[in-house]
This record gives sequence, C-alpha cells and structure tokens, in this order.
Amino acid sequence: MEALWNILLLQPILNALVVFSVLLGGSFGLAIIAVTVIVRIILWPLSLRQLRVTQKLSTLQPKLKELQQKYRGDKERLSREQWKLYREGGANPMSLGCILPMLLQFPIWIAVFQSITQALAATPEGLFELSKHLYPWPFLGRATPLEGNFLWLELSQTDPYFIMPALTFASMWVQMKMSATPPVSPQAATQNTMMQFMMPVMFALLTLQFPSGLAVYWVASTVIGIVMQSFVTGWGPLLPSRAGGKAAPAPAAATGNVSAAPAPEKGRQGGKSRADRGKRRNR
Amino acid sequence: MPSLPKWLFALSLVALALLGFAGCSSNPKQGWPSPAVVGDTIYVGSRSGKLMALDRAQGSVRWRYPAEADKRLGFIYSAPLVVEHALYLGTYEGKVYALDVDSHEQLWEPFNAGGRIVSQPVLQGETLLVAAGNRLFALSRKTGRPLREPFVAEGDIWAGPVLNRGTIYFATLGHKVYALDGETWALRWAPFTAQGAFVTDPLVVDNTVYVGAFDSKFYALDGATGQLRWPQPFAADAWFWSPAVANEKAVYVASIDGKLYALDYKTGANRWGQPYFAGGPVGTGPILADGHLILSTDKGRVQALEPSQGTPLWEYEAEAGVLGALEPSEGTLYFMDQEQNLHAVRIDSGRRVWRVPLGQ
Repeated sequence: MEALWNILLLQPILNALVVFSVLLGGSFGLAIIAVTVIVRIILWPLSLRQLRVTQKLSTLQPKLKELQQKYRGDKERLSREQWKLYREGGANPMSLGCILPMLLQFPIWIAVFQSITQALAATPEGLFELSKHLYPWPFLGRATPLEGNFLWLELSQTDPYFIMPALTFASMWVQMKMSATPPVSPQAATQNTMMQFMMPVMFALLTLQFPSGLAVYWVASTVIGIVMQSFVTGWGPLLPSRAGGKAAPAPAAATGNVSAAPAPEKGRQGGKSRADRGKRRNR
Repeated sequence: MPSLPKWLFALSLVALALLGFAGCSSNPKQGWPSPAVVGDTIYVGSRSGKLMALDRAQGSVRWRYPAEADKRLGFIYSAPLVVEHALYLGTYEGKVYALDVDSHEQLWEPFNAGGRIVSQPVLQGETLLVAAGNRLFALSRKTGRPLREPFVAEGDIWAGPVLNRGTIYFATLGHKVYALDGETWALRWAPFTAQGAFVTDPLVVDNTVYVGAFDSKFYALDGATGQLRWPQPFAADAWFWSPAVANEKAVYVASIDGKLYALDYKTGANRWGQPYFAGGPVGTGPILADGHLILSTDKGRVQALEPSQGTPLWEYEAEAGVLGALEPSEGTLYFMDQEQNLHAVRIDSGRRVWRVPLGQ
C-alpha cells in the first residue's frame, strides 16, 4: 500500500517540486507555488463539480428556512422534509457527487504536504529518505539538497516573524467570508460566525508549528481557491456591492482547503451569476 | 441528518488531522550514533540523546551521561572521539561536549558552535577540528575555546575533515572540496567544484583525494593541486552517500542504490566488471576489516565480501536499518541499528556475539 502511494502520488509530486526548483532558478519557494497552481488546475474539474453541488444547495436555503419555521416543533418531520427537498433539488449533501470530489482531493493534498516536507530534507534522515524517492535523472540529484531560503523564510523552519500564520488566517478568513450563508436560524448564525473564525485560527496555529514551506503551499492554495471561487460564485458577503447590493444565498464551497457554504446570488460583474441561473433553473 | 456546516466542519477536521500527521511524520530526526571502541569499553550515543559506556565483552551498560532521566545531549550522528581519558562528541544542536571518561564529568563547558554537527571531531595535535554548519572550528582540546576564527565554507559540512601530510581536506553540501594548509588554514588550491553535494568524508591515499558526490560521480583529485587524476570521474547510477575505503588493489565505494564498486586506482574503472548489488540502499560502508569488505543496507542487511572478487562471505540481519558507521575492533564488528540495538558480530563468520537493546 505504501509503495503504491509512493509511486502514484508522492514521487510524481516530489519530483515535480525538484524539477520546478531547477527550472525556477533554484527557488524552492517558487517551485511550491508552481506545483500548487498545477495541482489546483488538475483538481479543477472536481472543485467545480463540488461548487455546483453546493451551488444547488444554496439555492434551497429560502425553502429550508420555510421548512424550519413550518416544522419547528417536529424535528423528525423536519429532517424528513429537508432530505426530500435536497433530493428533489438534486443537491443531496451526502451524495457521491458532493462527497467524492472532496474525498479524492484529500490524498492529493496530503501527498503535496508530504512531498514538500520530504523535498526540504532538513535532516540527514530526510535527505537519505529523499534519495529513495527521486527519479534516476542526474539533474535531480545535482539539485539536492534544495535551497531552503525564500523571501524572509527558511522553508524547513517555522516563520520567525509569524507572517505566514497571519497570511494563512487572512486568506482563509476571506475564503470563509466569501462562503458565508445567510443563516436560517439564530443558531446557524452563531455557528457560521464561529466557523468563520475558528477554522482560520486553527490553520494559523498549525502553520505556527509546520515548516514555513507548508505554509507557503497553504496560503498559495487558499488564494488560488479564492480566485476560482470568485469566478464561479462571486465575492459573496465579502463584497456585497459587487454582488448587486445584497447577499442572497448562493454557492460557495470546498473548492480549496476548507469547505464552505453558500455565497451570493448575483455574479461579481453585476449580472446574473451562475448561482442565480441555477436558481432560476430550479424554479 | 447532519446539517451541512457541521458535516463540512467534521470533514475539514479529518483533513486537518491527516495533514498534521503527514506533515509531522515525514521528516524525522532521530540521529544515527556510531560506536567507538577503546580498550575494554564501547562508547556510543543513543537516539535518546545520551552517551553510554558499555562493557565490550558482554555489552552491559557501565554508565550513561547525562545520568538524569530528563536530560539529554541532543541528536547524535557520529561516533565520539576518545583520546587518552577524554571523550569529545558533537551534537546536531551544535554543541561540542568533552567528558572525562573516568569521572563522567565535563572537562569544560559545552562549546556552542551555532551550526549542526553531523561528523566526528578530528584531533590535530592538541586541537580539535569540528565541522558545524558551514564552518570549520579549531578548538583547544584542553579548554574547548576556539583557537582561531572558523573557516567559512560554501555549504554545510556534514563530512568530517581528513588530515593528511599537513593538509586538511573536507567536502561540503555546497558541491565543494577544500584543501587547507594545516597550520595557516590557507587554501592549498582553489576549491574543487562538483555538480552535486558532498556528504561523505574524503578518502586520502598516496596524496590522492577520493570522494563521491550527489551528481553520481566519484572523483579522484590530486591532493597537491586539486586536479582530476582520472581521465574522467567514475559515473554511477545514484548518489554517493557513504565514504570510500581502499586497500593495495582498489578503491571500494558504494552508491546509494545498493551497488558496490571496486575501482582501479589509476583509471577509475570497475575491476569487478559488474558491481556487487547489496539488495537495497547502502546505509553505511564499505569498510575493510580483517580482510573482509563489509557494508550494510538501510534495512539492516550487513554483508561481508571477499575484496578481490567481491564474493559474498556471510550476511547478518540486524533488527533494523544500519546508517551509523561500522566499527571493527579485534575481530569483532560493532554497530548500532536504527532501533537502538547495539550489535557485536564476529568479522570472520558473521556470527552474533551479543546484541544489546539500548532503547530501554
């Protein structure tokens, strides 16, 4: 199993990192960003599919709110009606169409994470281990050990100035904010607010302990996710004016590092967003 | 039914846990200590950061330093250097320790070199040569104080310096081989530059410096001029990770893909025709001891060959990989595996004399 993992995921990504490092003048930081872009492009069909499922889900928010008011005293019935609504709207959150893309992305993220850590080879053991995973191309051997300095960072060490944790928090907060759902209840509103802060805080805390190379990957991946999400769902509650002045329910989602929920109804250019079109179709 | 945010929240937590595991577990730092045998005592570091002295005949532990359970020296990647009654040891954290082996007390306050120490200190008269980070230090072995400004090299120095005929040779991760005058530390020749990093000690024989690099090439340099001795370097299929060894017939060196070569002194051609395949990445060796050529894989397959033809003589299976140096002494081979078992094996037969688990 481990051999399969190494051959199919770890080694291709690891070697790609080293190749890009060579192509980009020996900068491993730029190599991380390049590989992140490529991984996000490869995962784009999955991300898009996931966005569309969550887009559908978001269009059902007003109806969900209605159901919650209607069956306030009957939780069992409410649950049944909610499921029915999801099924009829073609937006079952437990469907393969929603879960599969996310599950497929996890191993790739983990492999990228592992590859960055191994490529940095900060210890003698790490370098020895790296040698087992490099393809037998002479220029790869010549490139190692890789240059660990990038901007103010030593990529195998934590960020001494805490800038990467701050960037991680900021980028994830933006993504969560873009994805904010108009709450269907006060409880949901509290939950949303907590999510918008807790997740970025947790990831920022993690980047305090990880080598900063991983934080570079994380921030790059989140920023790319934000850009992708803005094209598909708009900026949501982050920039309500660009969403037509109101933050009606629309899609958002786990296109990147974290999953999320709905975004605005209107597109970022003032016209009808894809979410809006989806909503119209559902009607 | 779980609401969507909770569901996504849970999945994100799972992802976080997995990513955290992946990030934390993939670049371990444990050290690979090597033993030093002096008289009837074996001195060896442990992966728990202690220095240990063991009885050579039985393998029983005589003392540990530091004795306190909660104290440790650091990560250890080399053998201690023992001179008379003094022991010197460098740690990955950049500290150089000096102990009295009789009283187990520090001879001087640990010297903080400020760079990672991977190789064994080397004695030059009353001076300790210590490579730490990208600097080479000269310390008084009596006081631990620097005797001169350190030499700053291009790239970290993981390989120990080698002294030969008044010259200090060492190689760096920055693709360089240096030759310094032993007294003045002036460069004997412009540093030789390879296309790959060096992590192994150079071997110096008859004023020729032999050293392999990560560019998969094994170089023979004129010790006086730094010029290449062979028409072209010997090219293998993988990095050179461990030092070479030589006898009167050949220079023996293994590449990390498990191939062992016997190279002709004059031409660099492989005298065996085909390399010997060790069965996996070579973690340490080869060494020459009692007419045996011995090496080990990273999975703990210790193998002895007959040097002239490369014929296998015996094989010994350790419980785990062997990455630290093999130490021969009076017919017995001592080495530590990566699960902290110290092994004593007969060189003539490969038979186990004893094995002591030091991790307990």
